[in-house]
Amino acid sequence: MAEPKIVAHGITKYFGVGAGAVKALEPFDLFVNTGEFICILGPSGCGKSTFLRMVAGLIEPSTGSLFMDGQPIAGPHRERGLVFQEYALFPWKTVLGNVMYGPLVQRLGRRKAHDIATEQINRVGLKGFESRFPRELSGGMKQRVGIARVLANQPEVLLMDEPFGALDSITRGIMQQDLLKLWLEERKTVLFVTHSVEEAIYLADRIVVMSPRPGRIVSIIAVEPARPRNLLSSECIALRAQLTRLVEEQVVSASSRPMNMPAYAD
Amino acid sequence: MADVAVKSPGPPAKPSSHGGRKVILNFLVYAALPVLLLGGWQLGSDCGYIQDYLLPSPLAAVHGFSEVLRDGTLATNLWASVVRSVSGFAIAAAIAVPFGILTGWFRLFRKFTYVTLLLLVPIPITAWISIAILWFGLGDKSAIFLVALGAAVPILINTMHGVEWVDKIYIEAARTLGTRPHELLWRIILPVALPNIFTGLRLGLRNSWAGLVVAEMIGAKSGVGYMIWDARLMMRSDLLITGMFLVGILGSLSDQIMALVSKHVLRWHESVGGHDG
Ligand SMILES: Nc1ncnc2c1ncn2[C@@H]1O[C@H](COP(=O)(O)OP(=O)(O)O)[C@@H](O)[C@H]1O
Ligand SMILES: [Mg+2]
Repeated sequence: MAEPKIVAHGITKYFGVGAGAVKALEPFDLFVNTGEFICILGPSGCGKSTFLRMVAGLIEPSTGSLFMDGQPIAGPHRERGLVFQEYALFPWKTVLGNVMYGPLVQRLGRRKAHDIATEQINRVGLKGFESRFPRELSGGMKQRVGIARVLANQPEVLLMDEPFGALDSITRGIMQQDLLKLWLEERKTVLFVTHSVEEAIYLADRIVVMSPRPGRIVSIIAVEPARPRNLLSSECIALRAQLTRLVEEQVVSASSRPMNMPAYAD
Repeated sequence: MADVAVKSPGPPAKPSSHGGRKVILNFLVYAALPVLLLGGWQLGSDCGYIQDYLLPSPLAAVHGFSEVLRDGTLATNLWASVVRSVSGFAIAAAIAVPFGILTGWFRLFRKFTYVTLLLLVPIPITAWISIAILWFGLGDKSAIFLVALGAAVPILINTMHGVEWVDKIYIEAARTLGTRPHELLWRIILPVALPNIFTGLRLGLRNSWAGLVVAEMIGAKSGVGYMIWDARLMMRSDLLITGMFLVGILGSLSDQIMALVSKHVLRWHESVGGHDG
């Protein structure tokens, strides 16, 4: 792990201009190593999506710089795949059509795209559902398609924005296990946004804890136990207590701030 | 993969114990009102409550219908109307869909055309008849012009809104998957806007019949509209009624065809099916 995969250097983000501008992100520094699974943990509205979308190249930081493999990130690229909480599947395409989309756009040809898509659909456990349309699928299955669609592009970095946030807790647990399995096969670099402490402990190599808006990094905590982790082990329970306290402290200190004093930009 | 088992391929077969009776019952419910209306109308005519020159009886209308059927005027007029309708609608779709995409996608172009459309769109199709005749004379051309104009307005408006309000999340997904900016229109915008485009096409088709009938009444010497108009001048109220029914049947038939096409093209879409029966 000589050179970090992703480097965020002093990035901030303001939405809007002038007195009405909203500061979404404080100066934010982060090094992500190649093959590392990073969870970004923070209360909603703290700027997690904003950060992830900047790494995806969909929006630009107001100040600071973002690098991948030492190169500045300028715009979206298939090497940084994004999985959305809302799935964002193409409703007019079948499961197969959705997963083939990336390879087709890369002009790999229909046959190659078909092979790649079939393989990824099998990997996420959706064999037999190739010709279904998204509206015919359950939430968990939709997100499996979302993950397969991104993996078919063979990205180097996987960006996941609360991908399981809309799922029931049982489905969510299964999805976490399966995602971990997929990750252990390829060891892609992952940036995974969540507001669930348990999810972060189960998945991450390191957990980045953020403060409420304007988001800044409160602490970065390494998760040592070997995978698959037992969340009921004493180590995990201790970690969970530590993280929960950290997150709650942040939220409490933010909500004790006077309501009429939002964090506006200077 | 527990959640994968949520929906197994293929729905279970519906139990069909009361299927036959339900079909008959449904048929009765659908048929009751038309039969009652026609029966009452015939009865009213027979008993002299309805004056013949105001409203001929259904049977008289049937006689009128068989008369024009035999002497060939029905076929001539129907064919003239169908040709005008199809060509006018095709022209409208070919112009209004691309134009709607353009106005929906390019904000500058939308602003550029905004005031013009704001002024032109509310002019009802009937108000265009004089200028249509002035420009195209009596006959096919002015009728096609009015059909096209009647169809174009809803197509344009709906296409424009469909493109303008495309959910940004599809564009973001497409871009992170490596879509080049110039491919977005074809690969993403168009399919996302397709349900709206089809809504526009269907409304446009419905609207176009008004244009056709007015154009044929005033600006043509053939077609179902001409049939209705001519029947009034000739005091043939039976043919007048026949003509009106024909317009209704044509409109209904074309609407059903459009609904079928749209249902097939949009089979991925959630609201496929609708409430129209
Ligand atoms: N496009 C935008 N315009 C204005 N404000 C925005 C925009 N996107 C996000 N924000 C604001 O920035 C803050 C952070 O948002 P977000 O990154 O979505 O939070 P999170 O993903 O952590 O819930 C929120 O207060 C949100 O209202
Ligand atoms: Mg978010």
